[in-house]
Amino acid sequence: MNDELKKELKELIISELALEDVSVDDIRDDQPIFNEGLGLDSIDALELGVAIQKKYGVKLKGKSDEEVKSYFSSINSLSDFISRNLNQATSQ
Amino acid sequence: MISLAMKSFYLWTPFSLSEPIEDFYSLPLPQKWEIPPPDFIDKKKQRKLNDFSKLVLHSAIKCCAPENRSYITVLSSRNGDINNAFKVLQDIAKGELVSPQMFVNSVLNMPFAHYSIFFQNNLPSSAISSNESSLGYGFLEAVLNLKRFGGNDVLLTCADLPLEGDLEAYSDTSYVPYSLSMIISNDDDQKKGFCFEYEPHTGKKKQNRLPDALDFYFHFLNGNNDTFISETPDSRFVWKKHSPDCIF
Repeated sequence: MNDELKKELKELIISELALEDVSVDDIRDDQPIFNEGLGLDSIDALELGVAIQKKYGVKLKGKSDEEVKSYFSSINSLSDFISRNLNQATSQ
Repeated sequence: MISLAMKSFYLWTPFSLSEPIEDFYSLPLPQKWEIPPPDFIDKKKQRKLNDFSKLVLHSAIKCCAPENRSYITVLSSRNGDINNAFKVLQDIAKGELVSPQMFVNSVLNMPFAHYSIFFQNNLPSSAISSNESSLGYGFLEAVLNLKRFGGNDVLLTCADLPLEGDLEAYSDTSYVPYSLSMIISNDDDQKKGFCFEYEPHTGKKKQNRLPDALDFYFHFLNGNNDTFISETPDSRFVWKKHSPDCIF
């Protein structure tokens, strides 16, 4: 499930952020998504947040800005956050 | 009456500009047309540009000399990126999530905000929209900025895209996509000089078949007419070449 989610997230990032020259294989699970990683910026973060909310119904919110930033640090952290919140939504 | 000089100009439309003007009026909009790719910046930055920004920046960059990108910038557009702005409003009305990138790009001065970032141009920038008088008021804004920030030339771009979908019914001129960029200075150059005049007006609206900027290009900038007049119900703008052999 988690590997499938990671692949979906990579595809979502590529399509929603129009990364024409990037393929799923180019994005490592532990690679930083923003700044030095894929070179994405704050508007990309907002765009990605909206795309995730539309696709998974999961809102990227936390107790602090730093916490929210940490979800975006890599594909691993993003998929952990989404699967945790998907599971919570299912169990409620 | 204000004296100005036209240092350079560049027009992009999907039509061939070698067509005689009368043929141009009757040409149907090509079924498929594409705005030239923004290959003046790297791919990572290109993805941030919507069609309207690509359109504006294409003609703006073709108009400036490669060694100088520092200009006061003025964008004049009747509609700006109204097609996408309309989609943003529809999403809001439906209670759907709005794309942040689309929202950012719906701001009228976004094309020249991109220009300022790409070319580290820190000179003032403004954007104006004034229905069918957008060409005239764009010039007026350019003149005010030349006076306000002396010593720098103005890069003025007048551009529009055709209205799409539900908005198409509101087109009252032939909405060919176009972008006309001009570098205007207040240098005293008789060969490239012209006068510009504005007055409030209560006359009848001229029935335009093309947007004013295209008429201006074909008849005045690249044509033989010494004078170009744009009249709308509330304004009258006049451009007059300093001499009949004036070549822009």
